[in-house]
Amino acid sequence: MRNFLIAVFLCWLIIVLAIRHDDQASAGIAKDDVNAGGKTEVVFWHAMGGPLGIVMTDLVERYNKSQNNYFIKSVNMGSYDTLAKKVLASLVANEAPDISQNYETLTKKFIKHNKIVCLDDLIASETEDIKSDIIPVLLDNNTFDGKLYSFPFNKSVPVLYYNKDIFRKVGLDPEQPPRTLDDMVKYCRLITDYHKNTPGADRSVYGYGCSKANVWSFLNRILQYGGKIVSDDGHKSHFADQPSINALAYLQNMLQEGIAREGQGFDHQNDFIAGKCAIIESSIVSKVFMEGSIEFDFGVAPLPGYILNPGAELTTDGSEINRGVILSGSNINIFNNGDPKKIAGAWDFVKWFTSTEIGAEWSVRTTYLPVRKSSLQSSIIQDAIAKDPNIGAPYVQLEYCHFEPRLSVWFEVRDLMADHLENATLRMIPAKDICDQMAKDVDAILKHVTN
Amino acid sequence: MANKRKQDWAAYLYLMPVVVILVIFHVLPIFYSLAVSFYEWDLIGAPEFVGVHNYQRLFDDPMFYKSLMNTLYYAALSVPLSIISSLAIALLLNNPISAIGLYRTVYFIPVITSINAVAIVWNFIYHPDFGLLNKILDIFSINAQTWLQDPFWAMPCIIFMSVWKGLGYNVIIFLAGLQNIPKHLYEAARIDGASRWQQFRHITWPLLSPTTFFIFTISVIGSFQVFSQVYMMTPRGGPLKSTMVVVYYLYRKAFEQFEFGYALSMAFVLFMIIFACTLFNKLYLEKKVHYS
Repeated sequence: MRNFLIAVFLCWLIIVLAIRHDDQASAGIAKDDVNAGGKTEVVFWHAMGGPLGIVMTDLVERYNKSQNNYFIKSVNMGSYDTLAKKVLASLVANEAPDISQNYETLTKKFIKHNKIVCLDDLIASETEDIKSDIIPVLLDNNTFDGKLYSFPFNKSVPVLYYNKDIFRKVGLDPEQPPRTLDDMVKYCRLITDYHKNTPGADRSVYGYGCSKANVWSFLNRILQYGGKIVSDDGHKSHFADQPSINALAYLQNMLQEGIAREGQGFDHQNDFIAGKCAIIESSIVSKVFMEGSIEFDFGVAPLPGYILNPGAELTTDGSEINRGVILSGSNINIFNNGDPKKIAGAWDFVKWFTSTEIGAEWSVRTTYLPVRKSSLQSSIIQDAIAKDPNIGAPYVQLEYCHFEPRLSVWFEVRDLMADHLENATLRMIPAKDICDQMAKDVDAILKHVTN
Repeated sequence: MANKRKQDWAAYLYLMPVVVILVIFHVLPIFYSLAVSFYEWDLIGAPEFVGVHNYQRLFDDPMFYKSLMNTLYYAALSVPLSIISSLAIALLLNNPISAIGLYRTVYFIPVITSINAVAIVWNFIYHPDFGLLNKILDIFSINAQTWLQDPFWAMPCIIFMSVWKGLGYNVIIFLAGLQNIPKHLYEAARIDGASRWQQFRHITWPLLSPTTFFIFTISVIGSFQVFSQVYMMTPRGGPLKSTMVVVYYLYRKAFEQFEFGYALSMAFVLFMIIFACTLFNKLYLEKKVHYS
């Protein structure tokens, strides 16, 4: 018995050492660069993991080689969640990084307590007119009381992923993804019914999949139905309005009919990859995580919209379709750590990273939106779209892109909304009742917001 | 006398490392947190003194009540279940059967496995579509459930997994307790014609009571602090907040909504509850314990 255990232990040890050796070999390149060698070291905390992290590391290394003044030390914190916690803890300990990715809610807190640098001051010394080249919605998203305090960095939009093979099989045109919400219901019904009624077909295939209690998706749909999220002063929500009720009822009806399913976390993506679900709504960034495992022909399309004035015939350009999507992802903050050299280095890196060429490359490789209009027009992005049309879907949505309210209590509100949305589809309570209650509960929080 | 003092000094010296660690990492943070619970603080700005406002807010917070009830539910189910099942297994493992070392190891493996890894595996087991549990139920033609996504089942699922995870620890302690019971008592009882149940009822149970008391006290404290499995298995506190327990709620308030003062007031109320429970155990239940 003892000899056997020793043998098992030795095997385990050998495997562990072998794996460790492998890791060290692949980390070897990064290790050589750790030495800043007289350059000003600028610490950059981010949350880009997996395929995104590879691109990030590559670009940071290229920046470090491209000039001799600054050395960017990038640290992956694993997730946005961990990143936010680490940043807060580092602020308390007076050891904040020089740059980090952050959401708008935190940026507002940082501004209030003078923790970050106002970027207008840095842009002022530039010869190039950077601000006029930033995509308008991204500029607005980062402007607080008229001043630019954070810089757009890795912003994404939701898109529709659809299985072209299933479209072909059921007789739909694979190059015509649903353009309106009503189209999508019809498509999903057709796909689900086909698989239920055709002998030999996989009966478990269904039309539309999304994640449970999905606030993002709900907010997108409110915009598509022509609604608003909160009032301009931020003290009242619009969740009791008809567009919100429609947005919720839309999902409830699809679920009740059995042509859509909700999953936990990334279940819907897994179902899509497995060919069980024909259409899903997800962030465009999911593409880089999914595409390696997808073994069928798939398309990426803008989210469908809604025709606000019924009766009008659908024209080919689709101009009467009311569309709307909401940005996701984070921005970048430069912390006010008191060392002008580090701040200059941080800004130099941000400027380089979001420049026309590098921004376009970042966008093509990660699917995040570029920051500059000139990146969009650059040959890098245009060539990439020509090669893979699926890349183009996020860019066309920029025209009608919005962002979520940047209120200090927005995380709390979102959490509360998720509870109501969960209740709505779990118990199938009428959409109007849920929306009324949601509006009441959210307004109770918003009423006291001072911002 | 001088020798005695020297011995005292030696004892203090030996105690010092652990005392220093306890003071720095436990005692000081406890008092610091108590102080912060009277402030409003998001870590970024300066803390703002608000008196007992955080505690008042707590009594009006329906989610705090819900999380408290969920915690009590967890404790009320997991503690007895854990004690009964680990005692049963300990009694079995106390028999001289072959490969006993293997069985004892197998029951102890979950204890030393990281709770996060265990939670991920159990997430697979409970998965509504591909989960092992539904596949097994399917063999017996029992309808599939959505388990962790069902407001009724989510908590029992977490309780079951937690009991399984902690089983080995309690089993080892029970085994130690069982082996302390003198063998001659059983021999005497057998000669008098006592049945197995009578032996258990009148020898094992009373003589094991110090062990049972210890496990009970530790389990109650542990169950009020349940967090990891909830965090790992039911993001956002489960369907309709059915697995939202106090520690998870205060974690969310502190680290996701950055209300540290409020979260700490919650932590202190929880501390007082655990303290009261333990005091009750000590003063009332311990009287029933039979120390040989």
